[in-house]
Amino acid sequence: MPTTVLIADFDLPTRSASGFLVRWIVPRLEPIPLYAFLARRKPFQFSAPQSDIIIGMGHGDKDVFTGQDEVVILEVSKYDPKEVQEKVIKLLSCQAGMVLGPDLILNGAEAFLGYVDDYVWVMDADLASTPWSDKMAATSLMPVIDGLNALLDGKTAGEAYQIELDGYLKNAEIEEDELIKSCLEFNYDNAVLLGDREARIRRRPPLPLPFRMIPPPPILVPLRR
Amino acid sequence: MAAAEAFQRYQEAKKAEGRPSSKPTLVNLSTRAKTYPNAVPLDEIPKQLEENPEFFELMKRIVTKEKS
Repeated sequence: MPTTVLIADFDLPTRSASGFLVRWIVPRLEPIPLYAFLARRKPFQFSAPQSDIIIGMGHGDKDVFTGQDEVVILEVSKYDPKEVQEKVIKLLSCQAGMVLGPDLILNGAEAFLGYVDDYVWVMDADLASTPWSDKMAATSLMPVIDGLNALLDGKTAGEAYQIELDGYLKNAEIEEDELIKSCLEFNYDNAVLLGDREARIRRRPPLPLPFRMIPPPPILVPLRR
Repeated sequence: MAAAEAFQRYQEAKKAEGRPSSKPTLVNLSTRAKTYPNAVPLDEIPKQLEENPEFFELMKRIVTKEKS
C-alpha cells in the first residue's frame, strides 16, 4: 500500500519543514511524493484513497489544510470520506487539530496527529537552500521526524505521538535560547492525537544507507518571499 | 510597548553572547487568513509586536503559554 506524502515548498516555513521531510522521510517511501507543484488537490484525491498513511505539511487553519501556494487540500465537509477512511493522518500545519482533525476522525480516519494552535519554530533563513542543515530548526522539526519514523517503523500512533512529545521536552531542557525553548514548549502543549492510539500502518523499510550518510543536493528553487 | 522593549533586551543579550551570525527567523504554518506574516526575522519582532495585535497575541501565547 502506497504512502501519501504531500509537501508544500514555496516560502520560508514550508522550505524549512520540507527540507527535514525530504532528508529523513521521503527516501523511505514509495511512490513519488506530492512535493511542491504536485502538492495540490487533484494528485491528493488520486493518491490518498490508496494509502494507509497520509503525511501532510503545509499552511493550515482550524478547518483547513493547504498545499502548494495555499491551495486547499482538505477542508471540513469538502472532501470525500474515502480519502481519509482507515488511515493514520499526520498534518504538520497550524491549528488543524481544532476542527479539521476531529472532522477527519468523524469521517473514518483511524488516527489524527496535529496541533491545536500555530506550529512555530525558529529557522535560519540563510540556510534556505540546505534546510536540513539548520540546527535551530532541527530542535523543533526533528521530534516531528522522529515521530513519523516511528510510525513508518510500525509503532502505534500513541507511541509515535509520545516520541514526538519526548523530543520537544528533551530539546527544551538543553536549549539555552529562551525563544527557541518557548517554541518547543508551545508545540509540545499544542500537539494532539485523536482517534485510535493503537492504530498502526504497514512497516516501511528503513532509510537506505546512502541516504543516511549523504544529504540531498542544495535546493535552488527560489521562494515566494 | 513593554513587550517590544523586552524583546529588544533579549536580542541585545543574544548579541552579547557572541553567537555566530545567521538570519534567525520566527516562522509558522498559518494561512493568509491571519494578519501576521509567516516569517518574521527576530530583529523585526519588536516592530511586529507594536504594530500587529494578532501577532502580539500569538507571541503572548508562545511565551506565557496562555490558551486563546
